[in-house]
Amino acid sequence: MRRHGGPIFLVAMMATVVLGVALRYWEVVAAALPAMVIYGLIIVMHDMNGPKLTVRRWIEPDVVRAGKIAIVTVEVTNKNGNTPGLVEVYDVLPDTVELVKGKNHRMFDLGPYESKRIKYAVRFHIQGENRLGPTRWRSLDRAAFFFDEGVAQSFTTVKVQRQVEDSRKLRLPSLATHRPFGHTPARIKGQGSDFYGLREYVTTDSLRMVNWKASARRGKLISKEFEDERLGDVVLVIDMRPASRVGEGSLNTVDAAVNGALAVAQKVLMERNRLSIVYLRKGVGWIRGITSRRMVQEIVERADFPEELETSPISWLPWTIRNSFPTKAHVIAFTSMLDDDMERMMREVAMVGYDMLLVSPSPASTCIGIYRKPVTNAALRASRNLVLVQRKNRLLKLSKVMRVVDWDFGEALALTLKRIERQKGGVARWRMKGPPVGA
Amino acid sequence: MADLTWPRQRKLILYMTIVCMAFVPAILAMEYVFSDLVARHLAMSAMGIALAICIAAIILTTRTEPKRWKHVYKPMQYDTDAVAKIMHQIDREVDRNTWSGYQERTRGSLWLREAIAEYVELTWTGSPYDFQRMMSMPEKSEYLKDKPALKKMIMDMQDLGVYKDGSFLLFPRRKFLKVVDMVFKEVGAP
Repeated sequence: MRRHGGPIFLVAMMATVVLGVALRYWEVVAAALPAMVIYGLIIVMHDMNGPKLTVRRWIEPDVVRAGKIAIVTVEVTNKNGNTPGLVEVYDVLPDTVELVKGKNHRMFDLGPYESKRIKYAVRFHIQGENRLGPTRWRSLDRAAFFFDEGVAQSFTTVKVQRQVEDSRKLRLPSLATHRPFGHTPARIKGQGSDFYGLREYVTTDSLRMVNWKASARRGKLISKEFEDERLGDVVLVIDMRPASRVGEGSLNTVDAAVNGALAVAQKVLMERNRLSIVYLRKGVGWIRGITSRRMVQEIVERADFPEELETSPISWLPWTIRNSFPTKAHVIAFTSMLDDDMERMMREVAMVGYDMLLVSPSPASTCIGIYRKPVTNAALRASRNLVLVQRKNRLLKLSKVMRVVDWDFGEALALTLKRIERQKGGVARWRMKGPPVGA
Repeated sequence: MADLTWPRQRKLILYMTIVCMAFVPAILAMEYVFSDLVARHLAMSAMGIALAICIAAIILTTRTEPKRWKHVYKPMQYDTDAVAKIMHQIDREVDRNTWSGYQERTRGSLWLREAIAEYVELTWTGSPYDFQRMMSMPEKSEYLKDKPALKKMIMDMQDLGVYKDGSFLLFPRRKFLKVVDMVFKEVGAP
């Protein structure tokens, strides 16, 4: 009615006047007079100069995470004191942004120098920079017969960061009882407090490192070396290939694998272990010798891993791990396990003698819609079922050579891993092979 | 004055002016054309009604409909290439005249059989549903009594390459997919 009210009113009024004149019923013409007066007033009251709206937008919280809800507030102010009447405001959003609650489109009465706010909740799915804006507005007269449009060039760039699993509640006991994570000597020199040996002084050594007695005995400067307190090596293997990606927006198996792996990385570093990350995309890439959590945080903030070398095809993964990391390292792999190649490579790595934990984000997770909704297309349903059966088979086969966790990433990783402890044998179960844990 | 974005309203004013300029003298002219009072009134009424219809038509056709604003969220959906590949094979209709589509469907069914066999072997350990046994003599297997779709699949997949009329590989698409669905249900696959 809002938009059609004006024209319908005008038609009725004109028709009445014309009929009155044609039929020479002057009473009818007189009856149409009030209507004509109202219409005249509408035209007179409509401010032809149009409003001048300014728009301000802000987003809460400050750090926006992919897949999490953010609140957007838009404040519209009528700056020049005109009377725009009804104002229709529409805050333009990219089509990749999901509107969760409220509306980015509102209509309200805006007086001179008055401000009104629109509040709505969105969910960002693209990591990196997302741009919100501009804001479109439309001012209508009271009968919605005329309208005036404009665009407020107000843009807000939101930097969306990766949503990393909470690492505080993660429990990652040792995979091997003889060499656990925790404070045990690594038997290599480093920055610890236990004495390791003596060597000749080099210019980069601080004077506190000099063993003066030994220096006096030998007639040249001798430095002390200390044992490194860092423990075993942990190698994280992250499958980021497009073939492994199933899901919607940021809720997909690849992003879940990365988020889970980064949480494990933080936990591993918190317990003073050495960490290396091997990731698969177009080829095999790796970041070696990560010793600080700041480096992991940088990866989280940058939202991407460095470009891998094109000279390392994916099939080189077992070779890369075997030749780059000691065989006593713990390998924790995050892969959705949707193809046979990955199963073969994981098996090869396990055969070398690495203690392995495989965490597999499930394509049938509760938070993924497309594999949960009933599918009407029978062929698609059969194909998806077949892919799920094949994946399940792979996990079952691998569970004979490594610990396998089928992770429904709708729930926290810490919760899924806790189920291993609850099984008979408790923490020691980490080393025991068995059926996949989880979904 | 603001830059008004309603050119159609201007068109409305222009057309209205033209129509009124044409009709109003025409209505008044009726007084001189018809001497008979009844005929004159009828003609003027007709002209008046015609004018009203014209004005209504002009208003309705030149009405500016503002663009409706609505946010459309296009979710990025990812599915594996494997699904598309299997779907291409399993979704084929077999044409009995040219046998086209038969190979694709057979290949898809083979994938299905391999996956189901592996699943049964890995999960049904210790149960009477021994897949090796089922594969070797499905027609005699007592265990498959309550699993007719699985039994049919095993029997039909035994002699591949031999076109049999009753084979589920030659079923129409809908019936074939129904068997596949039932097989998944019977083995309790995820």
